[in-house]
Amino acid sequence: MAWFSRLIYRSGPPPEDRHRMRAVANSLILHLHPPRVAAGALRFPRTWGLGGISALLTMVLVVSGVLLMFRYDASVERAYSSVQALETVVPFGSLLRAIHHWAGNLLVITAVLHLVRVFAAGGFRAERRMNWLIGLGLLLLVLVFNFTGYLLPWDQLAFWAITVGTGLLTYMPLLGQPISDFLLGGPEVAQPALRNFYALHVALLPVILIFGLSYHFWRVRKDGGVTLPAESTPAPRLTTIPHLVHIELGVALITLTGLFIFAMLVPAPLEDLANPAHPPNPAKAAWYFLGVQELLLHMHPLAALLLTLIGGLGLALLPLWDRDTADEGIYFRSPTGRLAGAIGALWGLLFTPLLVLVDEYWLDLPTLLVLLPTLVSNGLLPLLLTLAGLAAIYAGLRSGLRARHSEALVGLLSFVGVALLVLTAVGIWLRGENMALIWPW
Amino acid sequence: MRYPLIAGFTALLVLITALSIYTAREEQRMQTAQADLRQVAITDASAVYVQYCATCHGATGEGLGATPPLDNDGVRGMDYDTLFKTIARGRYGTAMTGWHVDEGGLLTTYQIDQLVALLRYGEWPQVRELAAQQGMIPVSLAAPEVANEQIAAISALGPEGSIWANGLNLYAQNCTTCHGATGEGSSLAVALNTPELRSQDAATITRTISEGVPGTMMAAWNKALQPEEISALAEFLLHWDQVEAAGVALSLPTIEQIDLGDAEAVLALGERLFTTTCTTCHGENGSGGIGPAINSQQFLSRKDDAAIEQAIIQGGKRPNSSMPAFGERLTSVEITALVRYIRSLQATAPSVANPRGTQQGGGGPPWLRDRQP
Ligand code: HEC
Ligand code: HEC
Ligand code: HEC
Ligand code: HEM
Repeated sequence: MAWFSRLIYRSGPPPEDRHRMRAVANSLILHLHPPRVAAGALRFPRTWGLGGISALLTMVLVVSGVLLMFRYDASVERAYSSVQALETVVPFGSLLRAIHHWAGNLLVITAVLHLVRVFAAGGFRAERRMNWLIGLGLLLLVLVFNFTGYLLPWDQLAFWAITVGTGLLTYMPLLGQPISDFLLGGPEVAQPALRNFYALHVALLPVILIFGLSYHFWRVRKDGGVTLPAESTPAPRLTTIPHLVHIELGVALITLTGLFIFAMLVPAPLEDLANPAHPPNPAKAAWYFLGVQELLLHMHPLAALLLTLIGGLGLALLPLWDRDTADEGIYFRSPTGRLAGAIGALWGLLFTPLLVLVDEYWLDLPTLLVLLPTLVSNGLLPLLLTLAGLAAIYAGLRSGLRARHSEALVGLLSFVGVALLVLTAVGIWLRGENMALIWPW
Repeated sequence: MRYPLIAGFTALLVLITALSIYTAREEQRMQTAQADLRQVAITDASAVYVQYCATCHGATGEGLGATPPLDNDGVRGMDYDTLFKTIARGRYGTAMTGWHVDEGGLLTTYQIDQLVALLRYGEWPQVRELAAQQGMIPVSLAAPEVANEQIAAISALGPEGSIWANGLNLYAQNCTTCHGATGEGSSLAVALNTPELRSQDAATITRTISEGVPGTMMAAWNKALQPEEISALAEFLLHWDQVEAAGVALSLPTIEQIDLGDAEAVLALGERLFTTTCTTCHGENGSGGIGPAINSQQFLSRKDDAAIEQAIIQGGKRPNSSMPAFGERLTSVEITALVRYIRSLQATAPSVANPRGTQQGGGGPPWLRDRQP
């Protein structure tokens, strides 16, 4: 067995079995981690473990997804019954589905929180620019993952969410229609769409995700690990084993337990078989797209899409927009930054619901400005007003608080983030029949 | 740095406990889930049944004319495969055509599965309720009403009168589907209101009713009816001529008559009949389905009124066509109303690429449809 040990150990195997096992495990761990990490990076509030939790959820998703593939059948005729079978005759099938479902939804949340954490710590500047972009790509990937997976049970929820979702896509000028056609393989959600979504969900996306994640992790190491505040004395460095590994193991076990118990208590939803003739009312997209769907209720599709695009572009270009590395690693830059963030969040919390109400009940721009084409009165005008509002917030923070550029940006982005959150919440809970505002109780 | 590890292993302990509890209850959970699913299937299938099958098999599975009943133990006892195949592929050479989409029908595997669940674990009262809501009961439910005056008239006939009245009532509820409202018999069963029957003695007739006639559709009624009820039935059958002489006769419920001169009313009746009985196969608004797209220029310009009427009365021309013959079930007034309504569509009917129904071949793929490329 000498050749075998040579595959594993660089210089002769350790004499005892116990030590051999250790050596294998350790070299696996050290493959992913540096041998030593800065003590500051190990403090939990440095990362809140969010990247790690996202990575764990990704693994849970891969494992549970592969298991689901053994019983799932991606044909319009059988998809729904195979899911029904999973729920009723396959032992632990229901639990498996619930784990996959909730892990997928949770990943959207943890990935976004991770983004917020990285933004707050200013970990997107200088050499970390590239990894910020990769991270954004990963978030997009996670969303596409969720979107493609949503269709697979082929129930009413799936069918109509995808119908609405691809409908949103077609508002995109030029590219929207071809992308939607490509995804659906035809004019509507039918067998070709199910086949395409399945192929994307179980074959193409996982491959991209694995490569993307590997690069992301490697980059974290290359860029000098987690962003830390500059310190006068050289920070002490601790060995990865056991210090980091113990934390990782603990967080992983707690997350797994929480996820599994939640999945045991709340099964994944399954509605009636998809019925193209009976749209539910209201027909909503998946919850993480409801913010955008809510925007569509307030402005011309082109404007809503443009706004979303500007938001995405803003995030992507953030490393160029804010290059001030002086406050690196300090959450929200400085006391002023923290104040700006709080003000931005508060404004978002107050302003967005107010605007939603005003637009719903009092303001009707197209009838007010009959002379203008709706593209202007309901599109260009609200878009420009929104952008002007954002600029005003930024300017207000700059002059009012005497905030530096990077501090004012914290306020601006926290306003945008909270506004998106509020819009999403309105879309989830406060929209009823015909997408009219309702009070859920 | 031990703290996270301890917390983690505590969580692990909780997880293991939770998993064991879950495992212990998994079998039970699956059983309940299956029962729930069966119930859902039956409910869903009721709607499908009322929409597609009730025109032939009756609103409560009682069978109409020569179409067999489905609400019986024979069908309930059939295994899944037989029932699935019967519904999916049909019975060759009969009006029961294949209903699966692959056979040119309208139903998916999933829907046929659900129908099988209905036929095997059936809840026909539920189906009946649904059919009633869709206005199908008067067309198919052939139980005549017995009026109080009729009961009184029979009771006045003599000391046994109230027993005969009771018998008439039971007959109206249980026997008219096969033996006819006036006992004239039908394609399903022999006539009962005959001197030959009345020449039998009460004991023989009572035995026939309680034990049935093995090998025929005449069931043994002693499971459904009390002995007194069966003897009341026998007494009634023996004295039917006297009851008739007193002027008491059952009549099947009729659709209210309308004035044929009133064009509006005729069209409205035609429209109502069309949407309740024809659109299941001919598509919503007659836009085509199993049967041709009636509401299309191509169809309407090719068929004159006589041809349409003929089709409604006699059913589909092709052997094995699923177009039922409505001649026995609809009155001439209703058929006329249907024809007029269909003709009235011509003014607004669209031109369609392919008016043929899926059971007529559907016309093939676009590149094989036209004669001239
Ligand atoms: C056009 C009239 C028609 C329609 C509509 C129709 N059937 Fe039938 N069905 C028949 C006839 C006729 C038979 C008897 C075939 C034979 O002689 O074997 C039959 C037989 C059957 C049988 C076998 C019964 C037995 O005792 O063997 C089943 C089951 C059945 N039908 C189910 C259905 C279902 C479910 C539907 C609705 C999807 C349906 N049928 C619609 C005419 C019809
Ligand atoms: C499903 C159809 C069906 C129903 C419902 C039905 N019968 Fe019959 N019945 C038949 C058939 C078929 C025969 C003929 C049997 C034979 O071939 O001898 C028959 C025969 C009879 C006979 C014998 C006739 C003779 O000439 O000897 C009597 C009596 C009779 N039925 C009474 C009843 C009564 C009373 C009811 C209601 C409680 C009833 N039937 C309901 C189908 C039916
Ligand atoms: C169980 C399904 C079914 C129902 C219910 C049904 N049809 Fe049809 N119908 C068909 C099919 C299938 C054809 C195709 C003709 C053939 O198979 O020969 C057809 C053909 C026709 C035709 C054209 C016949 C020809 O000469 O080509 C007319 C007219 C028609 N149906 C009228 C009606 C009307 C009116 C009703 C309602 C009272 C009705 N159908 C209900 C299935 C149905
Ligand atoms: C599938 C989703 C993702 C996974 C699994 C993941 C995983 C990780 C992990 C494990 C780390 C190490 C530090 C930590 O735990 O915070 C990290 C760091 C980082 N991630 Fe992610 N990430 C994901 C998505 C994102 C997103 C959406 C962004 C932002 C656009 C992003 C940007 C970054 C950056 C810039 C770092 C370096 C942080 C620093 O230096 O402080 N990642 N990621």
